[in-house]
Amino acid sequence: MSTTPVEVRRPQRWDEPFDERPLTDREVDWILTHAPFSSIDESDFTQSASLRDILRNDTRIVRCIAGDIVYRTGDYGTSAYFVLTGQVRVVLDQGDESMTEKISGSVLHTRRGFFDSLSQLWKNTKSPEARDFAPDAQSSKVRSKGLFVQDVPGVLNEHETTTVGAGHLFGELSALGRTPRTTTIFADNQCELLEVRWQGLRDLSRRSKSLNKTVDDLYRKDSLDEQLQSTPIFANVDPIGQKRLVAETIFQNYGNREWTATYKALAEKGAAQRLKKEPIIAEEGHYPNGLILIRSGFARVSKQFGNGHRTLSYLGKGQMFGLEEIYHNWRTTDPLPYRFTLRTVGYVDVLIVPTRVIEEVVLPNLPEDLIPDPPVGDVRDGDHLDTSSDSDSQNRTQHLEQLVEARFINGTSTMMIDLERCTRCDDCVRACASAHDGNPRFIRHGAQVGKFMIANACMHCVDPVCMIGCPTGAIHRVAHGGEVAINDPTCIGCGTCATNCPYDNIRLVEIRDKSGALIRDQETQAPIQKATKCDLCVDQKVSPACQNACPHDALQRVDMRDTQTLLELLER
Amino acid sequence: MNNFVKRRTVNSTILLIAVLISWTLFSILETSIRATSFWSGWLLFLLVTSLALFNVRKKLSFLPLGTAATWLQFHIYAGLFSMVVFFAHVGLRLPTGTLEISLSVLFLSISASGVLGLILSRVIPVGLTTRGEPVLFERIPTLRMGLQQEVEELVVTCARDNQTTTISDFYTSRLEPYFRVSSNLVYHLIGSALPIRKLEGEIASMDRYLNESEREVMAEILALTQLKDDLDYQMARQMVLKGWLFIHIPLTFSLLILLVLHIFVVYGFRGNLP
Repeated sequence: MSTTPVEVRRPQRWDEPFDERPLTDREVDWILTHAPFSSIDESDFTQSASLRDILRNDTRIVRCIAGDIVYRTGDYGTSAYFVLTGQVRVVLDQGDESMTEKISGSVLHTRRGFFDSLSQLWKNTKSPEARDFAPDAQSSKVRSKGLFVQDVPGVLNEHETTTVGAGHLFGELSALGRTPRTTTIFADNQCELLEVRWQGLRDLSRRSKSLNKTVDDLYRKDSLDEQLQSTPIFANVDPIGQKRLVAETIFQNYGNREWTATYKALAEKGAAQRLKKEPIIAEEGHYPNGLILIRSGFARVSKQFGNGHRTLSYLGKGQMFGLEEIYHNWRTTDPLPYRFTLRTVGYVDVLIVPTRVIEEVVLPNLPEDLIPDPPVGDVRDGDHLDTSSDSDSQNRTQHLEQLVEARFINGTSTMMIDLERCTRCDDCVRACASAHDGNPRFIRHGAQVGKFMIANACMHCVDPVCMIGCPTGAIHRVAHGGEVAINDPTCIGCGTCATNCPYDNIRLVEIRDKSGALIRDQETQAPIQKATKCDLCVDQKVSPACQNACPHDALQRVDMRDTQTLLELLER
Repeated sequence: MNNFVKRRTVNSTILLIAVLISWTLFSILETSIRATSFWSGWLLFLLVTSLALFNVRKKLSFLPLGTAATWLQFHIYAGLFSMVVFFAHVGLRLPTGTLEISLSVLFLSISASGVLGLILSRVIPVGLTTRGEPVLFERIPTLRMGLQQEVEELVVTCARDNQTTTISDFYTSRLEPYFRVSSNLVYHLIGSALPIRKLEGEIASMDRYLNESEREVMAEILALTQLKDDLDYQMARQMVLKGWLFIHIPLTFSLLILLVLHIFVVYGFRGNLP
């Protein structure tokens, strides 16, 4: 291994512009003649991040012809779009599977081929964290293939659509909320769009008050629409009822958005103290004055037990609270209060639909299969809400509380290792290393919940807070699948993601060239660092390699949103 | 019935059927005065080769070759089946000749180490969860050194504050050798707590020679001694979990080489046999 350090200039925020090259002054001037940029005051911006710099580096111009797809429902994206000229069409129907048939091209295949996979056997570098500094190898652009709607009239006939015209913004919900796209959007005619990566959108909103208000209003409206449309119990509500739902639904948030800064200190406190710090959304014994829908974040469902509270479950995005009680009260004359307490875990956005609206608009049209079971005793929604005091139930509560306290409930691919089956053979670590040029991307070590270890591997969170603050957009969600991955060439090693990750699952490593020589900043001589983490083997034929390599069925990647499966696993 | 029990039941049933089918076929061949050993030999060779491929699969974790868990299940049950085929091949007699003895000894050693490994890999992990923190095997020496440093700091501070050498003398003579290396590994393997109880007794017997401040230090040292014992326990058991493969795998490759030689010899000297 070579010991002579290689000197390079430390990567900077805009070394890798959003487009293949920074926009030219002429292009920036042209953008500034279009709404809403024409009305933005350039003096509101700082010198280090001027409006022109943001436009030049954090945006790209996308030119479309009629039928070109901008994005599809379910795609992940970290950018929003301003329509500069022309207009785009939004397909409003949910679950538009038929759309995929009308679209030419298929899901982008970024996985390796068989021989490319096999070649890792001899191509993997012997030096740790080696990077190829050949100019060709540094290309970081992830481009979507041109997809287009083959049958535009067919889509227009079969789907409810609307248009978004010049000067308007779309796609901000996914960009800011780190969630999948909720609609399919394609060009209605020849149009020019300005795609802004979310870091740019954040800076634009921060500096321009008018733009900030536009983005904020649109974000709230779109998220309300999206939630109401995606909730099955509202599916049969007529258009008048829908309007009433939108008008009367209350948008509320609880807790602290910066929960990652305080939750570890809170976890060390006693159970009673922790609960006191969790704002109550709905309280056991109180009249159910609304149906509560979780829009983002998590909430704890608990029940009074002795002088304390026992955690029975937790709710995440899309789940609701209080329907059983409201339905019961609507059907009978025996009023039933909330049977459980709903508390904020960290931070939660909720929509509260008033009981009166539910009774008048939703319940009369509720499909039979969605009618809640009548409340029996203390049990609600399946046996995982068992409130008895036997040993199994106590263990279950303890496990759930541990998972909630440590916020592991945020994971969609949490690495859980059954320590009673794990033989510490490290086949998982070796498989991970083989898939990542010889560098394992997790540590077989971590907190213990029951007999399971929650290993230090990226959990690919529902709310990936690691993405907040990344100055270059290097850490992103993969478009098809939503895995959280780091684009190595764009990463400037600032460590923001590693600091933000509440679970210590991102590591900064000092990189080397292929000969093993350490790479240093030519100015400060400090080693160049890059953030690394599990990417769920997005580019491999077999993913995730760790789970596939475990011979003893000890290692599982678990979606923590599936409480039932999770509890079954914990009790297996 | 949980998934593991279900899987065990299905796999055992398949194994039983395979044994019955092969026994029937060998009986038919035997009755028709055909060379049963020819068929059982080739079947055994195929089985041993496919069992050895499990190790190759581990090296090719990035190829879609099925999960390692499925391979291990095949490895376990095909391994048990190969033992049946082995006895069908050699019969219930003692082997003769250097090559035959070597082959038999190797095969039986691999089978025994495989069965032992299976038992160890099911029993030891459960035990590991009962003592101390889950630690990485490679980090045990570092953690042990950390404990030793903590104890040494306590001993030096105590000697300086109290101007006595009672604890430091005891450390030099009794505790330093204990903290320097992983100790009592065999005792940990057989589940005996005798050595740590003895050491705890010796620490307790020091009580009469210590003042109040020294007693507090000794209590801290005792706690660290127990932590070191937990580390030794993890070391001993994890070492065995990793170690048995260092017998099983090299023996397998030796067997494969001898098997090829055996095939050449058999075909070279078969004469006019069918």
